[in-house]
Amino acid sequence: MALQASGQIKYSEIIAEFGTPNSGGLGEFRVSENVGTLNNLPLDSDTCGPNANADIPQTGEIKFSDFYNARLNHIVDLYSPSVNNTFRQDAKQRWSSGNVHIVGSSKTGKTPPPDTVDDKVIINVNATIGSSKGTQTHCALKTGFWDSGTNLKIEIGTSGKLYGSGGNGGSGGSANNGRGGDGQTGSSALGIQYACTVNNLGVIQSGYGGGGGGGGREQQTNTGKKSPPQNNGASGGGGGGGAGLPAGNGGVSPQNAFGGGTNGSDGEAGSLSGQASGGLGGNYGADGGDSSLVNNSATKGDDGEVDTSTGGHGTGGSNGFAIITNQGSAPSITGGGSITGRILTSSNST
Amino acid sequence: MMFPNILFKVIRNDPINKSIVVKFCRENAQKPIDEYKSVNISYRNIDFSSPKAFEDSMRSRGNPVVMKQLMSEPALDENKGISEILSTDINDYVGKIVCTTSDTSGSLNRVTL
Repeated sequence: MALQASGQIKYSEIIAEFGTPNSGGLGEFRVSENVGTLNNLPLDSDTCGPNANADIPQTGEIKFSDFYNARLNHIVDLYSPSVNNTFRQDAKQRWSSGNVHIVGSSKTGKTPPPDTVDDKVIINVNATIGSSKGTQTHCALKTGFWDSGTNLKIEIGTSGKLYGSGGNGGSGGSANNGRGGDGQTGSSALGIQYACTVNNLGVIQSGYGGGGGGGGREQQTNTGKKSPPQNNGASGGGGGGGAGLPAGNGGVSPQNAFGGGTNGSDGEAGSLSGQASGGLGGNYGADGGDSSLVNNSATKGDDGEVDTSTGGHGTGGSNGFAIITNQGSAPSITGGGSITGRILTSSNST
Repeated sequence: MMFPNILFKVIRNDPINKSIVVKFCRENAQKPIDEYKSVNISYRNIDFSSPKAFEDSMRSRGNPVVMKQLMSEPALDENKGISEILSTDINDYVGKIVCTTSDTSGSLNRVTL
């Protein structure tokens, strides 16, 4: 619970919020801690004091009135090396599992309370986190749902990188007039399920859709006056794999050409942040589509090549989002980090 | 049918996934090869047994690509013709642009002997 904003404030109320100093008194609350990428942290910052605009002092004089509006600060650990190269993290679950540091605990031994009502929670990310394939709303990192009155911030450090996954390319159509497969959807990077602000010094990147597969084609050619016509079949090319972490696989082209037909090629494998080319179709087949461009406005991967003489093309997979928020507007974002991809509001991440 | 000379340019090589990304165009293309679409080709669809075999297989792969490029090039407005003139009087053709299209039906005209 946040401390009161005015009137008499008791020492017992301060230690109920922040814990009892192992030695000494009020002066022990003058702290400067380095946690994750956050340096020189005071006990609470920015919103304390009679005017709700100050830090708890770190040096010099400290008064009871400095604790007006003060809140316990929790730093959720998404910065430790063990988090690096993991997938689909949920910050609230990390908190519930004890991966949290309480500011000031070095002086008080304060342990996390059972809830975060009216507390300040900072999700500190300084690791590379990917998402999972196949569902557009799956995110690399979700905030989780926090208790009422929680003041939530996301701090992404310079090594913090959130990536949606790339969609696999659609398979090429079979040589006997098979239809190309559809490209898989990309997934998303950051899912906001509770109102928060974001300070991004790292990377937030959507996952991008895979290209659709090209159609296969079967056709007859005449071989001579006295010979029966020959059946020829060529397979379609696979779609390119979408960008993200993990990246999409290139779509597979069936190697089942017959007669004078030739086999198509697989789509190019996706990468972290680039567009992948569709596979070349066999001599009668159609080419696979490229995966989506990596930018802020693209919506999907390319469809397979349109060729009505084939079994039909697959459609490109939809792109994910850089940020999905259940709030009505995009969050306040500061910092000079990169955000690549679209932002979706009033929607639930999964 | 004579095919034009074909240019190819390998854009990327991916030995892990055993494929190359390539651009094709015909030698007398009207725009730079870099402006054409890239396609991915699996190693298994290329003959690496000799330089000549490699070039031949790339030409084989590139033929349908450049023919599609050729067929998709837009006609100049000045060259747009009428489809047919139902006449054998040559004077009806003087000064007109006539477009003759390929007959892809494969059927033959009946000839009475």
